[in-house]
Amino acid sequence: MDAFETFLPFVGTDFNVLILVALGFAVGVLAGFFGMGGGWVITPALYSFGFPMQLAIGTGLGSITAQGALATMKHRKMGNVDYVLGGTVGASMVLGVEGGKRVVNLLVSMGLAGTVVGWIYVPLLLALAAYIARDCLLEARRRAAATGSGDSPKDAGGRRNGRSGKRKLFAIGPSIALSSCGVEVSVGLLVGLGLLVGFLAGLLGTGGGFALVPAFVYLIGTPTLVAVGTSLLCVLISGAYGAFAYGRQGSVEIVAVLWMLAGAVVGTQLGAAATRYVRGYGIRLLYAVMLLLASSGLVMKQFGVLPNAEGESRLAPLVILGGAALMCVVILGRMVGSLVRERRGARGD
Amino acid sequence: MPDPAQWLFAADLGRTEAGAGFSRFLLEAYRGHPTLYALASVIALLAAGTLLGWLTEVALVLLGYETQNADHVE
Repeated sequence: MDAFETFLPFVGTDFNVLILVALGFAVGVLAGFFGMGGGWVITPALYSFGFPMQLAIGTGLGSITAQGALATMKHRKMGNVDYVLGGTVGASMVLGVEGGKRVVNLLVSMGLAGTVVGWIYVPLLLALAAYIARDCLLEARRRAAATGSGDSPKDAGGRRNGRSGKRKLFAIGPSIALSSCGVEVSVGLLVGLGLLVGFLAGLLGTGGGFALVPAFVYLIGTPTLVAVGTSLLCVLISGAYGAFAYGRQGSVEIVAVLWMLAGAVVGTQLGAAATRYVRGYGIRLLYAVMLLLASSGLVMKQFGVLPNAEGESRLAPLVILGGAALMCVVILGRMVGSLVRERRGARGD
Repeated sequence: MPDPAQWLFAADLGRTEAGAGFSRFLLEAYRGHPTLYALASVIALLAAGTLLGWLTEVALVLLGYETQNADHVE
């Protein structure tokens, strides 16, 4: 395995490149398949592998920046980006990221960064898992109801988010018009949203798409694809600032980001291709299970379950990476299975 | 049970000249001009992400695979 070791100058140790590529690949598959998931896996995984928390957060933000550039460009080409909305929320997120970074610096000076941020992650991962599971079950029920009433599931979903006509939302203080959904929305609401999500991004090293997409869809009424494209622009802006701010204090391990990026590029394409062949809600429930595993891994890390000589948990990195790997194996395995069936069917014809 | 920490971290093993040189370069650049280093890092990351993604798409098209939106949402 020595041939695969690379020196990480800011962490100050050698690290196995294959682990970094595998982590990037897994995150890429998840991002390509689900359209979210990067930061939630990268930062806890790097922390469990022994990165100091500050470096895990900075490196996570760097990775989000690199991966976000391509995804945003793709959505821009398809006209899925609302620049007024994305620019306003993204600029506010920059301030939030700075706030989050300052809190992390304060925690580092107190020697509590790993413990505090690690414990913040645990309930948030659990909440995200619960949200995905609930969303998945509600969608299944809605589809079942739509099938029963003769509507197509798409119509049923469309009516839920469809909001027409120009109207005002939270008309307190100055407001701006959003062409993507035909509403005027309070600037204060958008700034508040950006500050909150940006703070979490700076504190946890995540992108924030997990909060932005539902907020855009349910709060503002943005069409889902525009919500995804616009949230990617926000994540790109805040991630780039976060990578810069953490990079200035030597907390972005760029060598690790580049290795992860190499895996992520392939993983993203495969994950996106898998959406054609892998359907059903079971797979999304499995994503919730993966988040539960990541949360459990962090708990193991905090309690030092099965400690090594340095007192670090041996089990935590295996649980976190294992969960992501399991998810990828299921998605790619089902894609290969569908492809094989499709080819056999074509030969039969 | 194998020890992942020992497996993952193996200081003083397998350092190549090129790798060590690149690491030294990064550290020296950071120590000399941290702000400039951070700015250059972000630009490099954005460029690397875009370029690698674009190359993968070109490769897929050349191989005859149609590419699809990477940010699928159900």
